Amino acid sequence: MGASILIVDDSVSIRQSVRFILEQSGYTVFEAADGLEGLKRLSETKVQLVISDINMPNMDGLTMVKKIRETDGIKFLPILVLTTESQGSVVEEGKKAGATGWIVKPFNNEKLIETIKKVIP
Amino acid sequence: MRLNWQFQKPEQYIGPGDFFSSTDDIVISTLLGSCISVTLHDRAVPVGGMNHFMLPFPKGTEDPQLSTSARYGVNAMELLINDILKHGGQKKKLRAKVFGGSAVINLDKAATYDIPAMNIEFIIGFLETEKIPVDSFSVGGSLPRKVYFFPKSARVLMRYTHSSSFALSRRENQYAHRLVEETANAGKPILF
Repeated sequence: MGASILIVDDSVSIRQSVRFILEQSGYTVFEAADGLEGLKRLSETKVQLVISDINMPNMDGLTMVKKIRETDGIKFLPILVLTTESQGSVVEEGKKAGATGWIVKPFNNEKLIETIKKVIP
Repeated sequence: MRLNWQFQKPEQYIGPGDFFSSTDDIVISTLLGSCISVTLHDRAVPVGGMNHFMLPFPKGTEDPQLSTSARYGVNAMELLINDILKHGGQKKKLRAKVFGGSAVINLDKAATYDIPAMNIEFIIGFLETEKIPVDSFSVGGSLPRKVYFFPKSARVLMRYTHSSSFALSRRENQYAHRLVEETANAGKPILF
């Protein structure tokens, strides 16, 4: 059984396509539609990695990253940001918030899996 | 932005791969062949935007909604949606209009795929999945469409055009080839 990954994205289409790719590679996938739901999921379920979008209603991705970094038990959880944002200043903000890595959409299947394997070998 | 004399408003033209949104009293225009343009509007702000995109050719027999090429369509839509959110719009309040997907393009590679049909199928599926209601659409056929979108009111004026098929087909061809290259080089990950 592969590692568990939480996908946080407000777009159903993105969640579907990421889930499809991850499941093909043997990962177990959980979903959340925004940062708040993501945090709730993390309090109920143990995952090894979070893949999150940035622009979402209720709670954006970077706020969620900061909250995770402040929460005992999930403080050191690896988080990959998967976003349409490619601007240097936003990437820098993500690094400061505590993200582990940054992938700009539209992503490439192989590179996504490769990156995940680097983060959770 | 140049002034459109007919409408007496500033006009922003968008080409293949572009998107634009605004809260201003302007007109956003485009010329479509096989490509798709979606206009999205949140009347509460009001803010509106339009994109212009095409799916790259799928590899092999991928599921149309989950393929790598569909992800490009999703991305084109997400870029526009995020831009509208930055102007104060809300995703759950967005309403759409859909144009394009006519059989104008004449590609050597296109013989294997029905590009316009693929584009139309994708966008209808996407809007349904994301629960964005469609107020009107004009898709398919064989003539290019000139589209004018007024982002403040969500009004669209569309007409068919005969004059520019050849140049348009050539431009969409170039865009399609550029997309194939982009697909191969997409999404370079950074690890901090």
